[in-house]
Amino acid sequence: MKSLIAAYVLGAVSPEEMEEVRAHIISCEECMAEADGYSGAVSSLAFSVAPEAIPDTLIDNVMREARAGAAQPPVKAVPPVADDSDGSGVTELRRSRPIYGIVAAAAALLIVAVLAGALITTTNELDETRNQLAAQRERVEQLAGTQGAMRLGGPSDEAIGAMLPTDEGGVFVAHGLDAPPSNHTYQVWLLDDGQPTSAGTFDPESGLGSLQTDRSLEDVDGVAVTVEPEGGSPAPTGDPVLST
Amino acid sequence: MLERDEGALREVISTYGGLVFAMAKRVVADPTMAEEVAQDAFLALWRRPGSYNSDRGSLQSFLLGVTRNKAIDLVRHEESLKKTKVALVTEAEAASEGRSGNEPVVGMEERDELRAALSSLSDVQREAVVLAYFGGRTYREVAEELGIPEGTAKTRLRDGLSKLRQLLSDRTEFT
Repeated sequence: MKSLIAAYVLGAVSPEEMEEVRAHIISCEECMAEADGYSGAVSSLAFSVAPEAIPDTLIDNVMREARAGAAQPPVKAVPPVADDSDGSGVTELRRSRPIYGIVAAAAALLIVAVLAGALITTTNELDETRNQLAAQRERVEQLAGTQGAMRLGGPSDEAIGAMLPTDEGGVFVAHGLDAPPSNHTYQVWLLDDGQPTSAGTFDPESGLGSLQTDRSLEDVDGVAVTVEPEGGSPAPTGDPVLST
Repeated sequence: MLERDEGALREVISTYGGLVFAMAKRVVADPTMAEEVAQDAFLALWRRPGSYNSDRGSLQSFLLGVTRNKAIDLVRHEESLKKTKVALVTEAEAASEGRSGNEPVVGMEERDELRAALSSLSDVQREAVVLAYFGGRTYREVAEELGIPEGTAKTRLRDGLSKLRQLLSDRTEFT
């Protein structure tokens, strides 16, 4: 399995191997660290390309298509991600580097595995999205099945979530939640003897919701997700859409 | 971009069009196909501005990633993998000889460093890494095309990436 890590990070393995390696990496810290190490080298390969002259017709063609598309309903822009300036201890998962040393190994892996999937979703056409979502669901399901993870389910079977412990707190991912109603957001609650503490808010992007918290999961015996007004609430106000 | 501002889109294309087109051409080899890929990449940003998040890296990285994925999808769809091999490997050799003149300022230093790093790989490592990354090949396809055992292909990819990682680890990050 170890011999496949470099090929995996390059995307140079079959879809079956992709899943196998991913499942292995989740449980093997050594391979996870190796994958993390390669990811920087792989993402920098794009920078070896030297720019060429822009084809004469490129700008005009793009502008024409953009205007034609503007007649369609506008795409809702994803709200800016929360940063930690409010001191909530919560930051969004980041795909950006530097990965090294900033997040725990498990979180770094998630960035490689989960967001690689999210990126693929943005680059494919609609008819492929269903397959991508199925793969995304399977990934979240796998994460929920790893050691120490908590699995969240909803009233319908559509949505699932997973909360994973890391060295520095926890990482949460959810698949299958619809966009929240306008001026609302999803909020994650950590339950200690039934008492909820906020772990932060998120808005799903490409079907995937995620957040990272630096609150320890040690005494947490359950996790729940509710819909709350934008910015989050001090305490949950509605029924959970996902819970352990 | 979030305001769907046409002027902003035009500016983004002027700034990054040359790079995006070059990335597309690197993968698909054919200039006409490359232009289509470049067009799709910019339209993807226009239609789904939320898919780009500045907290996650530069717009340049985002556009190049989208372009590469779209180009590889297209090449796979066209089943023209073999046709692009010669172009890919020639490019890799050119890349290893240092930078060409007349480049805009975007990331020029990074490019020089990257090329220097690429050129220090052995020829067989570079060939394997370039086929996998720009050619979208699996290690099996790399093995088949180069007439080497699968294990050797995996080793070349691993050694190539290890060396790149090592060379790039102590310097400023690419963002």
